[in-house]
Amino acid sequence: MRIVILGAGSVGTQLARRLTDEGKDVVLIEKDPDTARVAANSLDCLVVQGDGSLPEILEKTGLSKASHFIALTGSDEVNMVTCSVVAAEYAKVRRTARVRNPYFSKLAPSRHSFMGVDRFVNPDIETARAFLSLVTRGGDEDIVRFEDERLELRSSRIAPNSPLCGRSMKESRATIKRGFLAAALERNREGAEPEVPSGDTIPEVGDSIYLLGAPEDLDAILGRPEAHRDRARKVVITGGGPIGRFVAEGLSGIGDDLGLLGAVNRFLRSGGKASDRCPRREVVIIERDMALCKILARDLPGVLVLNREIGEEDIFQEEGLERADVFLALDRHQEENLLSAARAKAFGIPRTLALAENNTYLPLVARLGIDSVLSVRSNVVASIIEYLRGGSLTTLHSFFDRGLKILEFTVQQGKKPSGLALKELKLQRGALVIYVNREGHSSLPTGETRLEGGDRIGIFTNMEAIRSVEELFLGEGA
Amino acid sequence: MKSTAILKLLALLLVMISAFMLVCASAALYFGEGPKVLSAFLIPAGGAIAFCVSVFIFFPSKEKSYFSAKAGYLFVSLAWVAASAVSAIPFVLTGVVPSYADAFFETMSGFTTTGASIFPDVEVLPKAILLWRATTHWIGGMGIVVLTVAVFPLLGLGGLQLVEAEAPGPSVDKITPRMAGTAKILWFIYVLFTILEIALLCLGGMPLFDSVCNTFATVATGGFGMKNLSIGYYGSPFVDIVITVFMVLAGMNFTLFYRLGKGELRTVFKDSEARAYLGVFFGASALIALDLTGNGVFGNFWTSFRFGAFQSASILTTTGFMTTDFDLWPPFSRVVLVLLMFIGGCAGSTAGGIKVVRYLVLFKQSAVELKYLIFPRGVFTVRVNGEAVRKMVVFDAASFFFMYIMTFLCGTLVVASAGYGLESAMTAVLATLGNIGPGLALVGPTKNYAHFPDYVTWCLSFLMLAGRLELYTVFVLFSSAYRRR
Repeated sequence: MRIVILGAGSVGTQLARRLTDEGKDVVLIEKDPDTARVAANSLDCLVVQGDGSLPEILEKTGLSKASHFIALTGSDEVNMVTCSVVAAEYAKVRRTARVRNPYFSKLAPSRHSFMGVDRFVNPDIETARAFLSLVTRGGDEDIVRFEDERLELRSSRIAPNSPLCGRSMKESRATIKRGFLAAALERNREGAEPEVPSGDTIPEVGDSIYLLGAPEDLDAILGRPEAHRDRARKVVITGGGPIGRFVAEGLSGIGDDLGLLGAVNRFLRSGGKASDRCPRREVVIIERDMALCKILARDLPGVLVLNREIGEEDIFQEEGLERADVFLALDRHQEENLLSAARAKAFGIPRTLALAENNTYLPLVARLGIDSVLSVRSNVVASIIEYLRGGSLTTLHSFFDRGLKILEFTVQQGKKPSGLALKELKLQRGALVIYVNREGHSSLPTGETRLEGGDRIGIFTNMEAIRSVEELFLGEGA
Repeated sequence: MKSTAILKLLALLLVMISAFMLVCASAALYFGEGPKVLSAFLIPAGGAIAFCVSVFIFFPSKEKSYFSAKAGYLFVSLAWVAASAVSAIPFVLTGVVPSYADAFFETMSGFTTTGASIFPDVEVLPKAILLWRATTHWIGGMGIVVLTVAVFPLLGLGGLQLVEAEAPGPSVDKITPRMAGTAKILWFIYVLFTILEIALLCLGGMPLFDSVCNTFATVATGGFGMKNLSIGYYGSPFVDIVITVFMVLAGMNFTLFYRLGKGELRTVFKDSEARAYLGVFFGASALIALDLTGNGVFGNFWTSFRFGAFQSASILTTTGFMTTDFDLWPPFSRVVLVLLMFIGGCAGSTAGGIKVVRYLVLFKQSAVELKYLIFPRGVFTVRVNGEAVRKMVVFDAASFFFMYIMTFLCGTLVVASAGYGLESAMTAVLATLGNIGPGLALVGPTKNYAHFPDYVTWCLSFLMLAGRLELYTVFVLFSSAYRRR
């Protein structure tokens, strides 16, 4: 599989490194001779120096044999125009472009391609999405719902009176006459990695267990979850740039109807029970630029915009920021973000997240007490790699802080996993098929469950097992 | 700016008015009302046509005229005064009104869709005169200038300026690229409502002639009655309901109906001004109905509601019809009606008053001020219909509100100087400045405006014009900045 990348900037080189590590053929196109030379020296890939929008340069990269073309220069226009040229000359190559204009990211994904671009990657939106799912889904008392609502994945700490405590899983299964599947168990020990429990595993008090099953069965085993308390009632965001803006938009539910009618709509949409799923949040943005503040106040109704600097001495007390549940430092400078996130932690805000440009300060994060740091660059790279894996293996949910993921895969009629029983798949330890959705009905599988074409299967996996899952389902060379 | 262009436009406008006079003349002929009534219409109509012809003979240039903002204000004010001055002539020539001041008041009241009348008894008037009163409402409802813009493509640029100077409300929504196109669409909706209401009233058993006159007075939110008891004469719940509905419709922004016709249901039902307006209407109707039932004015709640809703709609939309003498109602209901006089209809309707949208903007601004007390460094925007409102619009609404109240107070002073009590003086000014018509006490629904001395009559005529043109268009003519330019 050959992949051609336009632009050897930081994202381009990081992506190239990841891909070459995975054993793919990568060709980089870079206009600037010096940058091209540096890239050629540090990466195990072909670097073509020249203007990527010229057909003769594209020719040199052997694009006709490539499967993907990824345009990552700093300019929206160059990326889009080059994709158009590639589309005209090499129609078979799939084209991805990094485009910052949010309009294109909002184009319906069903749309085949627009101006020759099959997929738009917007770094701001990708990063904002990652932050959003951290805020709305992260935490320890997690409930993941799947689309048909018949199955849920819950994580819970084992209490002394739990029916699972102190028995092997085999025993529990025999005594508890309800369907459930233990997807992972994380021991209550320093540095323990989540593992897939076997029949002989004995959960102990304090361990975290991930159980999948019908909601009523899980209620019976784990006890009803306490009335879902939104742990992100009040969110403070510093920095009103594009990322801060998208996160605020997502958190405050703009686009949802406001007012009484909106509340009724939300209630109906959520099926009348979990009205807490899109709760009204208090979102505060702190931005030092007055002109930007005015635009934010205009575009984000329901978001409190404060024209201040987070570095001011008394700002936490004066504006009541200490009562926030989540603090997001999304300003322009990573140093400032890390420090203000650490300061927020010192004021007792339970969860603080910060935006970084690169991984320079990653070792400091734990020491500063910050809960998570995301970098724009790694997010873009991760999202592109996910896309390159192909559409049929998609990430449904990530437990960022634990390195666990739920992937979904659609079995093709007549292709490899179809016709096999689950135990014949020989999944690596750490990965587990947690549900099989056949004709819209999800069920808990056993080792004997045989896959058919058209099944959608959910795979729960930790980071080590991801590669093997990809190889298994997407075939060699993927 | 050439004054000849203004002259020419005025001449065209007068021709248009004389065309309506000719219609009334033919009505006089049809009803056999004698040569005096007939000539009372033919003489001013002929004069206006002669004036127009001579203007176009003396100034034959064909170039399209551009209207500066300054000339626009002057033209619009002049247009209304000239139209009223000429249209008052039939009243004087037929001899039904002896003084010209009263005749001018009556026509100004017609064009500005006020509906305040100087006639103690309208049932003795010739039918042609009744039709003429109703017609002045109908012309004035959508705006004399809007009509001119719609009919004559003479205006090149600056059409928007003129319409903006005339239209009720803080801004004009252009719904087509050309102002003339927008004016035509608005008139089309207006005519459609007129035809619909005439048909419905006829269906309810009202004679055709009465239906036409009452419809003209309803869709224009005018309020000249055909009978001394106004709509109460017909005593029919069906008629009451039809007229209530059309009054409420006429008090709404006409561009909303255009959007409704285009199928943009969501924007229409989410329109915050329309919602607030309907809320005020239903709230006031319910309050009055409760008060009337409680005091035993009407037998049951639904009868009270019928009368309450009719009267609320009539006052809120600044129409001024009545189905019963509300001056005899208990104090609470009368106070509710007086408060409604301060509100008025929606922007872009045929109604007068301060307009709901200004209240909406000012309310939201007040809410923002409260937020600033809690978050001194916060940044907030006032939004109406989900759209941010610019600071200028807020200031504009605030200063309009202030100017309106000041004009109201000064007017009250003038009327009181003629020896009128607080209730009469205040409601007389409110009813004319807000283009409503009847007030309370001496200007109550069964009374009239004939008893005022001439200087008060002129003052009230001026207030009607100022209220219809939303103060600024008229007041700017007296400002020193205007004279210096």
